[in-house]
Amino acid sequence: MAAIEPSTSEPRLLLDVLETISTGDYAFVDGRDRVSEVPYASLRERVGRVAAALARQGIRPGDRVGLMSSDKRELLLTFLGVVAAGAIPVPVAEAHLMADLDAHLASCAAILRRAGARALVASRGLVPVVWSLRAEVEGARVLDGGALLEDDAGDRWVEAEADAPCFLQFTSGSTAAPKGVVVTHRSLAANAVGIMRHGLEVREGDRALAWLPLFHDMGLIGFGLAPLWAALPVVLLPTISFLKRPHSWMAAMSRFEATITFAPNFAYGLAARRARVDGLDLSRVRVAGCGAEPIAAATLEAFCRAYAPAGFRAEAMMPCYGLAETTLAATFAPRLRPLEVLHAEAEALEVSGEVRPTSATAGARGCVSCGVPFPGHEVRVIDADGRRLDEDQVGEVVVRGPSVAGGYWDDPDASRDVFVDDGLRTGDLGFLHQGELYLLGREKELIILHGRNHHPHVFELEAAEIDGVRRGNVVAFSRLGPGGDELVIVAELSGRPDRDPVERAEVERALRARIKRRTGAVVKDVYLVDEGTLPKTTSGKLKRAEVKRACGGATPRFVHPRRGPVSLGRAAIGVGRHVARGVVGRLGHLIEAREEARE
Amino acid sequence: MSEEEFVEVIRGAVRRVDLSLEVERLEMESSLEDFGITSVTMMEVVGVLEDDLGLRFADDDLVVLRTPRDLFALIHGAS
Repeated sequence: MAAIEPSTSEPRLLLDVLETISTGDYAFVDGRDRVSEVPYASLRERVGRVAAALARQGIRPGDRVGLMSSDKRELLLTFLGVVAAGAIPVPVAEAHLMADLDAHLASCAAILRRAGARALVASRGLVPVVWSLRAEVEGARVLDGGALLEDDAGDRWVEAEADAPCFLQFTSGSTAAPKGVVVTHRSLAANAVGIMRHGLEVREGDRALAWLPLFHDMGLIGFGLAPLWAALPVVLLPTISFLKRPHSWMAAMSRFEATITFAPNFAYGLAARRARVDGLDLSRVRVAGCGAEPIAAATLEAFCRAYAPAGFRAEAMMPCYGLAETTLAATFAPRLRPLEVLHAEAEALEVSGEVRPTSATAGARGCVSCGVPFPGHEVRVIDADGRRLDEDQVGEVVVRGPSVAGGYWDDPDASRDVFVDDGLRTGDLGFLHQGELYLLGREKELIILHGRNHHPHVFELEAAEIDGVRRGNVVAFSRLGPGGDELVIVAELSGRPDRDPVERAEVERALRARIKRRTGAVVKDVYLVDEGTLPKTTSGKLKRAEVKRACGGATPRFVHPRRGPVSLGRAAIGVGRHVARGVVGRLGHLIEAREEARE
Repeated sequence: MSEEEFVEVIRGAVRRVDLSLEVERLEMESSLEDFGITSVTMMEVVGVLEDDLGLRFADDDLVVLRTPRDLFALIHGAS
């Protein structure tokens, strides 16, 4: 489309795009299926008014401004208003259902303190909830987002430098030290053009649709901002609508005749289990993107099968790879191609880090291709010494190009380790095969037992199959013991909090037996905890590092959100001692080298 | 609807969303979390209740939903 710049020229920056855009619109759908449209052509005027209102509230260029709202219209318009005021938006997760409010507010406060925020703009319903944050964040004020949008006098428009911060994207770091990725105007523009032009090849008649939250990069950039570069119309649904009725996602795709959507792997699984296809027409869907989590081929295949009767084409499924540090996307699978699953010998992959393609047999591991980088970008795989590895060799993924963000906010040490001279060290483990990227997991979470690399989610998925264990609430990690690395599993029990010791022992026995049988690994210690004990991020992800730290001493201690500190005895006596670690694979050295470098 | 009837409606809705959850002993003052009803499960339960009872909760109100009683109170504010 004409609105998209060729990749060779410098892409236009966000405010420049807002000044000239003439077609397309946001369609915001509310919880009662009512639609309100905001034409892109009206944004320049609306956003300028919001910026003027912010300036009257004392917001100056360079100020950081927190944003919290589940109302997508309000969040996007205030976000753009903050940018037009020359200030730096900091989206934070809205409080959500049954979340422990105190813990949630504490993590928001940590982010706002880290960002040095001058104000928090919250939707009207949330203002009383977040009022206490004023005391937690020195000098910060709480502003009512709805009032800002109604304040319709004046116009303010502060042009930005390409390398200036556009906004801060806080990642799921720990509460104690949240990390804010600085998305610059240049990295945003480069990534937006990459996604729209090269990843999606947006064309006339396309319409994108998402329910993703806007405090997360996939929703905010993928569906709130990047579409502006292509004047791509977007339909935005409340996140809660999908969670209440997972079948409503594809129903909306059909109703709005949408052609493009995105979601993490888990959402495709949920939508597949709750599929209702009667009366749906999904034949227009040409991109169903999947990223942000490890991609399981089986989940996407189940989704394709569930919605095939409604005309969903399996080749629309598009796996992607990216992270906040590359603004959003780093690689996209080629469009309209069936899922590319490479089966590799698990043994060679885990022990020597070599990719040996094989058939889909018991000793094989299926890896999903995440495709190729955008033009002007490069993805390579390196070893522990930073040397480039050949294809079919497993190592750390490094991304280079104009989409790489500007570092971590106010954190030169962390920035230096990750944003290096020749690219971004992602910390992710993967390999290139026939020019395409395959991801294996987060490098730093690898569990190395007897020189063999295991990805924790393999143990976690097995443990979750045991009766009495809460699915999705298991953490596996390794701990250095006298005889080498030991495997530790912490799992939440489902149902009643008052299970007796006999029941607990039975759960533990079954868990150990299954993991031994299915993976060959011996579990050193099992900790069974009551529901709600394991710490989680605001987006519901388990805080693995925190769990690991809690289990570091002789007696693990967790703080249950409501019941206070919980001390745990070992569920039973550990089994055996590991013999001294033998040959440690090349990947093991890679990890150790990184750990040492950090210390 | 009496409180006991309401709790039974909730139990039924939870079972429809996730059969593996044991909710016979769920009561008006029980912590939903203690019964393994996660926020994701609860969202779906709310969706089922809305459809069955023909009403819509205001989304912002859902922030403070911890027990069936919280939900019961919400219904009187729903439209």
